Amino acid sequence: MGGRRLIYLLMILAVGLPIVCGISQKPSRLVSAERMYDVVEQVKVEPGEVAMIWLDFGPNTVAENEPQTQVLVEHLFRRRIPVVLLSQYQQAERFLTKIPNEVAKRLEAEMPGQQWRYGEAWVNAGFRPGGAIFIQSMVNAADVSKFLGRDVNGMPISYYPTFSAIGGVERVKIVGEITGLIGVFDNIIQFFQKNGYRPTIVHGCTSITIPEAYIFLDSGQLKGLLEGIAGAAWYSVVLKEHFPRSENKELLVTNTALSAAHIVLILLIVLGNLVPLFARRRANHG
Amino acid sequence: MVTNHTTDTRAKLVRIFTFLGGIYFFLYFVLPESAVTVIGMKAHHEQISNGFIVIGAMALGLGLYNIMRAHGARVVFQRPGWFNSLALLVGLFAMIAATSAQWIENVRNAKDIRRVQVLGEFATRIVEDARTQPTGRTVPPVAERVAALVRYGDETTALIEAHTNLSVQAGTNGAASLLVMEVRERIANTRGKLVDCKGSAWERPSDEDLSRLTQFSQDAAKLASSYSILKRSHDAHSLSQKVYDFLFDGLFNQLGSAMFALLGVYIAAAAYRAFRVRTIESGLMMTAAVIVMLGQISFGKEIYEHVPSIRQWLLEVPNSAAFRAIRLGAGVAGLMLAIRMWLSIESRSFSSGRK
Amino acid sequence: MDSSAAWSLASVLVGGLSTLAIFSFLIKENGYYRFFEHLFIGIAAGLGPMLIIRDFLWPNILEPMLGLTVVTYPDGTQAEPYQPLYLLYLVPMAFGCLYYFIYSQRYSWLAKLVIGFTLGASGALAIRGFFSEAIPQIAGSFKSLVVFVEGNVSLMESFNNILFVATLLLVLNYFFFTFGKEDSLQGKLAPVGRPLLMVCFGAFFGSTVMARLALLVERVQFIVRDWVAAIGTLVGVG
Repeated sequence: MGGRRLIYLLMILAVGLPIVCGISQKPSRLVSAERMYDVVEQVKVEPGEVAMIWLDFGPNTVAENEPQTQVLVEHLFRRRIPVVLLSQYQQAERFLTKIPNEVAKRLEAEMPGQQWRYGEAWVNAGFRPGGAIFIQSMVNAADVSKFLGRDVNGMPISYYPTFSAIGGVERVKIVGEITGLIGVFDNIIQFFQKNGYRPTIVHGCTSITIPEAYIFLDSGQLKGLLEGIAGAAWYSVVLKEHFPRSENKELLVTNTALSAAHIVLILLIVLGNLVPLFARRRANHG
Repeated sequence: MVTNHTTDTRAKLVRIFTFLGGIYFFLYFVLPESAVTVIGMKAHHEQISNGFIVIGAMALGLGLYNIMRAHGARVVFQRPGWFNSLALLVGLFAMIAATSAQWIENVRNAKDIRRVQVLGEFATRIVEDARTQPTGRTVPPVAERVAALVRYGDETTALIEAHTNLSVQAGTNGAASLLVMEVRERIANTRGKLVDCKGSAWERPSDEDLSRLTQFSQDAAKLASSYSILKRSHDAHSLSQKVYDFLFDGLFNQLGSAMFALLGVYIAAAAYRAFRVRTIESGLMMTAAVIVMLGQISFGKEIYEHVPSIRQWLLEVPNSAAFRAIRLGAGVAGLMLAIRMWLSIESRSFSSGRK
Repeated sequence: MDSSAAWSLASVLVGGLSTLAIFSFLIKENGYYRFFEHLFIGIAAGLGPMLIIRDFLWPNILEPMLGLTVVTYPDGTQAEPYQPLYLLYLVPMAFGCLYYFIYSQRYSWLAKLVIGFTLGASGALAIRGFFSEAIPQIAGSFKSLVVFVEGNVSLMESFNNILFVATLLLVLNYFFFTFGKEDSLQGKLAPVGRPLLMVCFGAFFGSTVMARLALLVERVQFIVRDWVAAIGTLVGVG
């Protein structure tokens, strides 16, 4: 019992020290995140066309999904690609408002005189229940803005000039799915398509679903992937290479703390194997 | 008394309804698009899909009723753990109250913003009706409509001005902020256009008059857009929004994250106590796990330069192939289950009509 | 301090206390943990239904059905006439209400009608979902076993593809339980699938570790950075 508590304390210390000391290291290079950066960088968006980002996470996976959303939204905002944010998962409701607001404020502080305003840079279409039924219905709608109806503030989305004439789903040039839930991710993969239209889908997944997400990368159903915090951290490094004033210190500290915890855990596995081995040997000798 | 005949009829009914539940989507997916359009499914697909969602949404009271029954009884009869049940009910009602208050405020504000939008839309409609006589509906003469527009415009701009001043006084939008200046400038523009409208002879509007009205409509739309941002930033400081934020950010988000964070320390304890290499297979598993862990962290490349590339290869090749096999196997099983469920082949106990 | 800042401060302070209460479970099961756990469940249970009403039932169903979306212009004319067809939503609403018969001893079979209907719809969607997901997966598995790059055989890529296809087939074979296979080639190859699966599970474990630790990092970061700073502000140090 006491040993277990010692492990708990060790883990908390391993995580806490880099945070307290503000240690940040360059994250590991993740090819999947680079691919995603290239996809977002190269997507061509004509006036009226949009990106659609689904935030399907709650407090249980916010640690990984929030930084992923931040880097993706930041990149889309920098490219001035209009973003429709929405969710199939009710617990994401607050993040739909909070994250784009924070990113817009950060960018406005970085580039005085430039603005990223709600209704121009993004709209928040809110929580949309129905899962697969909702998605297949939207994909078949003649006009996505009319289909979505009103935003989270009760305003018709078609009223905002940037989003007034999205038209059919073919005008959604890039689809982002940020989630740790396999079911909602499957809804996008399975139903966000129709005859003659397969969107460019990028995915921010929690680490636990990384192995599964790779099969979709291989088949081309996914074009880019952010692998947990590590993926977001590497994406932020790539962003900083292209936009030197982009701020990622905090994310790198988080990633360093995560790395320290990994090292302790690996040592624990090694110890867990060695201690019984030595104990057995000693018992045999005794 | 329930007879066998009644039970069989009920069982058939359940099977029929189960089949009917699936037939719409099945047909929508398998029929060619031309057929779907001809039989009217495409035109009403959105409403029909909404109908399906409504059926599920109607069940939302079940959970609330169960919670109330279980925890309400515990509180009322002061059974063991009643204080925790009370906390649960307080959380439940507080969230319902905060969400409702925030929603009501949003609806009220959307109404104010909608008022400004209607100003522009009405002007556009007057122009459309003046250019092409509407069919199937009668409209008042243009002069009468423009007079109504001007009256409505005066009232609306006064309302926006009052709201803008209120927001400046409350400190939610600084008097010198870009947004407030923009709204004030657009109010002035809209008012100027309204004055112009008053000056024209609308009994026989010229093309120039109508294009002036179109211009007015565009200005009103811009005003609505700026006003909606100002109103939202004002509302972000309302009490209902603050209470909602407090419940979500201060409690719900923190408690949810903390509960799942416990797993972070449990997995360490489990790794120490249970991840033992006893066979070649468990050795393989541990090697793969360690490579993946080292490959995704900052220090990995310090230990061995190529660890990230090996991790990448491991995930892309052996892992993807094995996971694809698992997923395909599970997918085929899921497909069979879906067909059996839809056709009620398997669920005799469900559709038997017994309680 | 203005009221917005005070609310934010209170939010962080309460958030820290809640986190510590949950973390107290690491020492032992206790009343504080139980209290906050119940509070969390209550808030989550209150949020769900309200959002379904606010974001779906009200704007998509009730408002159009009650004619509240019809705009009346200042001259008394309407933007578009009321659509009585929206009243048809009453049918699924009434049908959905059958769920509540689950509490009746006598009429609980009526609830089975709506449950069956929902299961049928999910089944049909799952059929479509399977094909749209699995076909690209199957197509993506047909990899060239000999890969040429600029006219030369790429040994690495060829090896990767051979390994990929072999792993896929061997693992599929390992999970093939339908017929007896002990004496056949299929049966003899089955044990080869196991170690390959173990590699996959190892990768899965490695990834799971990152997921779990990330949650811990986020919480510790909140306590060390935000909560401590909030306490500093409260006592006038920060």
